[in-house]
Amino acid sequence: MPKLTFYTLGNGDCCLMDLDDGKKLLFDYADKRNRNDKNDRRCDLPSELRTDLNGAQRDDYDVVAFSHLDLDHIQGSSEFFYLEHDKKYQDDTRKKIKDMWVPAAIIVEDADTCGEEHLIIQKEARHRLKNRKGIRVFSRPAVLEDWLKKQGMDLDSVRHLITDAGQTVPGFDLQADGVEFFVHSPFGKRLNEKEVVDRNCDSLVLQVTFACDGNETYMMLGADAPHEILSDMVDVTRAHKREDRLKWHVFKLPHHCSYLSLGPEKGKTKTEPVPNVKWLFEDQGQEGGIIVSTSDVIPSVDTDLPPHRQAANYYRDVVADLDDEFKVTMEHPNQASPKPMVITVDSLGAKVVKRNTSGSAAVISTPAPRAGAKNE
Amino acid sequence: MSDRYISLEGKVIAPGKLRMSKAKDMVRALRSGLLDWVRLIECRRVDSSARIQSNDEEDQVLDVVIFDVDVEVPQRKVFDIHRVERIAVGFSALDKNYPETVALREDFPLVPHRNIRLEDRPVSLCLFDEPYSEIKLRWTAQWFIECIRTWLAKTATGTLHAADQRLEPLLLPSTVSLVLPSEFITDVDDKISERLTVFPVFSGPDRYSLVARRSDSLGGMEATKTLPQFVTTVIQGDPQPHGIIRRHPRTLRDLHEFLRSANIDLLSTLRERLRSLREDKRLLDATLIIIVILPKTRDVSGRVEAYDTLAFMLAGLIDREQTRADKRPEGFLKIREVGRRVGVWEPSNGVLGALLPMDVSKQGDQITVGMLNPCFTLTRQRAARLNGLATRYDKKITAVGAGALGSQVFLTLIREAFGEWVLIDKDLFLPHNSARHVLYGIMVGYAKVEPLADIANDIIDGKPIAAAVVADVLDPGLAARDVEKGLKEADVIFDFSASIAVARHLSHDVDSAPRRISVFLNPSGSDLVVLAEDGERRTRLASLEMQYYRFLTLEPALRDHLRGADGKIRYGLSCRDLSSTISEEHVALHAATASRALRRVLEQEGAAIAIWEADDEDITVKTFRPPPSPTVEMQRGDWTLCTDGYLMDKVRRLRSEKLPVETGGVLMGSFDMQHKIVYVVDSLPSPPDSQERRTSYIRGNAGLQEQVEGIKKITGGHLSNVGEWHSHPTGYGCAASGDDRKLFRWIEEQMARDGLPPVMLILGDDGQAGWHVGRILD
Repeated sequence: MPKLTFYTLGNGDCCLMDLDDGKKLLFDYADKRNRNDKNDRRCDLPSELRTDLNGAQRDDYDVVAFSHLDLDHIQGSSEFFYLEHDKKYQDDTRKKIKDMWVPAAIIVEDADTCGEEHLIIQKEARHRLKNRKGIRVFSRPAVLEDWLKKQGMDLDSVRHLITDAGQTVPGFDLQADGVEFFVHSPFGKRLNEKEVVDRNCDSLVLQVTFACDGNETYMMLGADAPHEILSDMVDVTRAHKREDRLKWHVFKLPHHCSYLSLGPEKGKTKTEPVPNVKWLFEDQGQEGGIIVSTSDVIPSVDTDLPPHRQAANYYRDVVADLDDEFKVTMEHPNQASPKPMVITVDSLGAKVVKRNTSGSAAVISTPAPRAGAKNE
Repeated sequence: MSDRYISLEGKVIAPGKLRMSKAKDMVRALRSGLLDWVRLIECRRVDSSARIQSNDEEDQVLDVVIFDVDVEVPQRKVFDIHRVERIAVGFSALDKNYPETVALREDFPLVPHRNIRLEDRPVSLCLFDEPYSEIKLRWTAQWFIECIRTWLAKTATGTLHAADQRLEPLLLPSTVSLVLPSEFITDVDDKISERLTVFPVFSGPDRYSLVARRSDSLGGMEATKTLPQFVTTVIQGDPQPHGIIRRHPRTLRDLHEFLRSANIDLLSTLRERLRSLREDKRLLDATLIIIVILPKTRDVSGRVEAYDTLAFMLAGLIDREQTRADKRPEGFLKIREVGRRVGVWEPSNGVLGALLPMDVSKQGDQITVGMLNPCFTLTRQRAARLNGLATRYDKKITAVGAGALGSQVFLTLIREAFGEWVLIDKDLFLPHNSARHVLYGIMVGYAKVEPLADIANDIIDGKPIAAAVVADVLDPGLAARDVEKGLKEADVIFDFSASIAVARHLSHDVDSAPRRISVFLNPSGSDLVVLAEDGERRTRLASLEMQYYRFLTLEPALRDHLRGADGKIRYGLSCRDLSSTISEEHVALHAATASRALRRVLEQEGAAIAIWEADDEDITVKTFRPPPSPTVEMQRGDWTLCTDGYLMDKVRRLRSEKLPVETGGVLMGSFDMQHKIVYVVDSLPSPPDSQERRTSYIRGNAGLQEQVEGIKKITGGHLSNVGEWHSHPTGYGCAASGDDRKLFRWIEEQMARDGLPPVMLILGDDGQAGWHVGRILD
């Protein structure tokens, strides 16, 4: 059965998706843990991922998607992944990426001002696009035209590597693979008959559909989309009469439970969402819905940075039904020792795995600490 | 929205006041922080009640630990288990039985796998299908908590047990088993029935089972010589998609209410049936057993897929102390009293006066109901299923021989309900047979097959699965017709006789279609041999026997296969297991192997030779499966020549390897003088001193004697030199030349001294083979 693993990274994203056919897809990578702080409760992401790959006896991912270039979605990736554009990122401990998924912004925007990590990922994405291999770019094709021209490249020669909003990602078929990815963002917003405004800054927002024994389960991967984008996304999707594409059983919240993904005002105790976002959460959520906030523990006091308790209060209301759940990665299963959260999907829908692993099983799932007569 | 929980009453106590170590452990585990998904709510001390009962009768006070668990539930639930459930576990200080575990939510669903209790809620979780004594061995509070959480999670997904699994009221304190004949349900009779005779079987002063047999299956004597202790009445309800007994009915009236949903008017039916008994004094002092059959459908309109059987005995309304005493069957109400308490009659002056009309105001409030645990005798289908066999082999098997190995294989296959059997053997069962035979003491003196068939028919309920024919298959005398019928009408014949004579007889003398399969042990008992003809009998048993000997000469590991336990090889005797010294351990080991091998062989049509060699030290078993070679058979005068593809390929290959010169050698095989068959299975290499020329061959003799002796030793004398072969060069057929005729006469003269016919084979171009047996073929 398909399995989703949300790692405990504080305000940081990394979701591993394991499919029935053995494919592994990674959505964002943010190694946020401070190695010098013993009390840091965030997980050691590279070590978690290496253990998982070892178990599967492989050293690569079928897909690594970077939703956008913020640090909380890419941090440390230049130390973990094997990057094709430069030999210095190619030692054999690094994990390979068969297909890299990026929004067009990562290719075309000026990343110089954003820092080292951003540049490296951008170089890698550009390198792959130039080689026309191992890359998928999400945007209207026209958005890339200028940049391609500067590289002396022709849009038609890379058109097959570009997926626009409103399309499903090629290579994944609901019937054959049991999974389908529908692209919501980046998208172009039509102002009138002729004009389209591209939301170039947009991050990658997807609706994933899993099919198991004739039953479909939907998941929204919200990246860091603010309420304006979500709101436009709802308009565009409705205009195309594809409301089904906004249904969700699992919702990976945008931006670590920030109020800005709900509405412009934080609110005193609870954020009031703008109407479209309200509709998205309250009407499109399916029975037993699971909302996942990839964030720090929800604070009890007012904070500037997410997660915002007011936003959390709104989400808690959304899941007021006993069968729904609001899960915060750093609170799972408890705040004292959060552990990566696993959600499995089968014909009965999604469920959060809640098992106490046995000690004896745990012992043999990792290497034992060093033993020996002589300390080294 | 929040859930409401049932209160258990009693008093809240500090965890430190808990008496039971398991309860204390549980609290420690819940508070340790090592377990996720659990939260301790409180501890209580309560008296055993309908809300939470003690499962140890001698201790009616419970230490109760109440806690919340988070449950892994899917989005589309099969049963409405919530993400958080409140659980109470009641420990008695005696710790003799499972702690009672209940879900406290007021509207917790009435899921299939729960214990039947006096009230339907709180729902008592049926967590284990093992005895508590086994569970205790691996009990930790952490493990138990995970069991509860897993039970809830699996119930939510509907994966806890097969959907049609029967309710198992494991923890019902008064569980008494009622064993019913398996075909009983399909044969319901609406009367108070004497057709079932029920016996109590005691296994202790207050422990018993009730065993019901069809009265007509017992001898007339047994059925009537004593007054019946029990009578049964069977009531069938309308088909139901769900079970209707949600809790333990307290009174007859209570039961009546339950049964109404299956369209059964219990009280009226009972009154009607009792009235007809008034005159029958034999039955009035018997105890009444009410059996209710509820056909089960998968959904509301579906067809009947199964039956639920419920059974009840009736007792007076009495207090707890008395109930305990009344666990003996005689403590239950006699029919005389039941009739009075439901208004059918009233005693006056020692006779029962019928009430006309009946007193329908007496509704059974004064009768308590004891639930019995009905179970059924073993059917063929169930036996097969319990052995993991998806489909049952239901064909006719005739088995010849019922010795140690045969009897054990037979009962193993019977327990799997494999086949419908006829057993043929003449031997009587004698005391020394018990050392390895399945029969024992009281069967001494009987022909083995008769008690064996009885045991089989006792194991498997329904029409007899085995029939016995007491006869010597080689000389059946008066039983000739039964033997012939058994051998003709079977789908397969198993030869357990351990006799070469019988195997050869079955192979050649009995004219019938079923394939034959021989199963026997080697003389020391260490090895098992299975020889199986193909479905069309192209390769016959006797030919397989010869190929088996050949294999012994080819496989170094089986060199000592025919050596007896005393280390000696018995020449000229049957080499198979007779009453020699053999370990029962070997017989039991190989009986299991043989049973499986027979099942496997019958799944295919091909012939098979298989040998299992058990290491005497550690009983590891090594298997040999030489591929059987197709039989080649031809008639030469009165003699039948029987050889196989292996030999023919071998000599043809030798001829072509030696061309342009001739070659030849000694043929190995065996004579069956009774059936006038010569078996030829192998050839020895042309001796080094032979003269191989373009058109002649003189067989030398260097080392030949040694080789033949070696083979005779390995095969217990079953293979020896039976003749000669040589090849003709290119351009020649296999017609015998003048020299060939001279050679043949020489062979004839030599063999005549043993009373054996000459055998010669000539090979020519195009694979032509000229066989000459007894005289030269012109």
